[in-house]
Amino acid sequence: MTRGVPRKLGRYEVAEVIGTGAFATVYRARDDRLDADVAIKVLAENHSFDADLRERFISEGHLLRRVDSPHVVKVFDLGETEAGQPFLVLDLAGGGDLAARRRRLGGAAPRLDELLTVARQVAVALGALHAEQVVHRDVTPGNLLVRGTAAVPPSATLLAPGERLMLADLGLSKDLAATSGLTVGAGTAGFTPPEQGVGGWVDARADIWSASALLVWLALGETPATHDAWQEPVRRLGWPDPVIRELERSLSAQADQRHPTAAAWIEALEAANAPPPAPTGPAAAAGPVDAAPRRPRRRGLAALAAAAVLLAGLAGGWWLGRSTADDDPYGRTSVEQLSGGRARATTTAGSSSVAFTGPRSATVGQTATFTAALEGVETATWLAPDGKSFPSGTALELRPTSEGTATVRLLGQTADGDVLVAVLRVEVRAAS
Amino acid sequence: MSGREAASSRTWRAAVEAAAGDREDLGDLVDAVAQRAAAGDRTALVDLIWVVDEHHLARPAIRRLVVQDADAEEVEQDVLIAVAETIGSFRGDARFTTWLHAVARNKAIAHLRRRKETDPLDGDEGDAARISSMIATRSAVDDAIRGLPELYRDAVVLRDIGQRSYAEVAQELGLNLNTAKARVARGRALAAAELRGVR
Repeated sequence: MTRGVPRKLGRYEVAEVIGTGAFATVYRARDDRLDADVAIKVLAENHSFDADLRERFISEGHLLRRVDSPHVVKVFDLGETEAGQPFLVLDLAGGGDLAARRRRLGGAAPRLDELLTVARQVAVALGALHAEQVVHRDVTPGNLLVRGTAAVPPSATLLAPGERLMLADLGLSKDLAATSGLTVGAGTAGFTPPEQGVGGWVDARADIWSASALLVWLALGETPATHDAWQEPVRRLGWPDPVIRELERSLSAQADQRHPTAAAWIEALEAANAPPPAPTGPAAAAGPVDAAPRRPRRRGLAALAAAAVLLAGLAGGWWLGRSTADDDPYGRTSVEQLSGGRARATTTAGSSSVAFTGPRSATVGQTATFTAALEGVETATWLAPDGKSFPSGTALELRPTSEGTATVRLLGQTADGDVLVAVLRVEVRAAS
Repeated sequence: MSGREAASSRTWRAAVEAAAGDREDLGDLVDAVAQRAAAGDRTALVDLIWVVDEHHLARPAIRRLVVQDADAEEVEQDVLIAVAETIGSFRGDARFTTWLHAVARNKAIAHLRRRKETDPLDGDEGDAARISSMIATRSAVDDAIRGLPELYRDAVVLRDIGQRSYAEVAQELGLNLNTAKARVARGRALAAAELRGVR
């Protein structure tokens, strides 16, 4: 912002600046009509006409509107200043962020049960995002806001009774429904998993790595990346070995060795801290995290990950795509009909191309095979309809689990860094 | 438009209305008419412009970049014109909406660029400037407008030749304001296609 603090943003009266970053400024403001204080995040003036940054900013509003969780910041409005800057009207947390709360504790590490309270709230937030196919990619103490009720922040604990955490700032988030999981390096040092830092595939498990790094940081003031022998100091804090083992698992360099979902992650941590007695009768349903895997969600990453475990090898679950409009965001795939009901989807840029062949239609329960052909592209990655990715070195075999339209994508990167995406829509019919 | 064409157009529009809740079904209907329009079918182009405008098919792509309602409406009009002018480049191997959203994104970006470079124009002047910028000669325009379906012709004549305000166009034709605006927008898009030799 170059114009200082505006008096008003839309119908909201601005009170003060509460945060600034390279791309946006956040203000505390007053919603007179609804008698409420709000936070307003305004895209910086010099970025407001940059199509990509502007689109990303506005999409944060769209994504937040889709997500429904008490632990994710809510969006109330999307507006624009007279200078053309888009702004988001958001929940005002009021209690600062988790980084500030940790600093108040100084050298005294929070107790493990308190950290697990934090972890549960983060898991609920991530579960809600992941169910909408959104990966946050920047889970850090600074992006966890405290919805404060205490007049004075507590000095001996992270949260006061009645306070709750809200995950904010989806500025780096990735909507896997609209785009691929292919990412360029982004995130906050120390809190980004290996696959995210260098540019690679991200999915829900990237956030699970970050959430685990967050717990280590809250305990030690350092992340696992800067303190690779974090296990010993947390053991001295009295953390049981099973908890440390679960954290090690969720901090695996390989995403497929981590817990598959946020719900599985928190359940494993809680079980490791207090091994439950042998189950008698129906287990008490605890907290909303459990809802994700139990409720059959057509598009939930949680449900999909579970389904994938049941299928061997490269087979993944298929489910109905929501949108047909964004199948090929690059609009560059050409589809050629082949004999035998098969087709070839090709995307070309210069002398490079990404192509694959596969059936135009498939039957529930029967395996469909897709074969890649690359030119001028060294490696490519399959993106199956369930959002899972596989290397292109082998054929992709999929077994549809429901009727509808499924979209298979093959993504490759040229030496120039151009991403080529070939897309094929497949009609899935019921088994007769 | 022949009687038979008019009847098939009516049937198609009725099918679109029936399918409006089902994106997949609507998509298939739109794809079919877009392919005929791309092949040069004039009636299909009229139907395509109608469905893009009436069902705001370009809106999701526009809204990824454009916040203000008035701006979104302006970009939507630009998209209608672009669809009419460039439908020949739609090859039919992707969904029409995929192609449309790429067009809409470009128009939204062009709008942002204009907005960055200039002070906000008075809406009405910007509007008139847009049609005159695509005008070749007066007589060509007159021909193009005379060739419009009647529904759109009267609205475009009043607005662009008679220089009336939208409110006056609405009053004259006994329409509400939004319908008058929509008819002008669709008529202009079709006239633009005619002027560019898209048939």
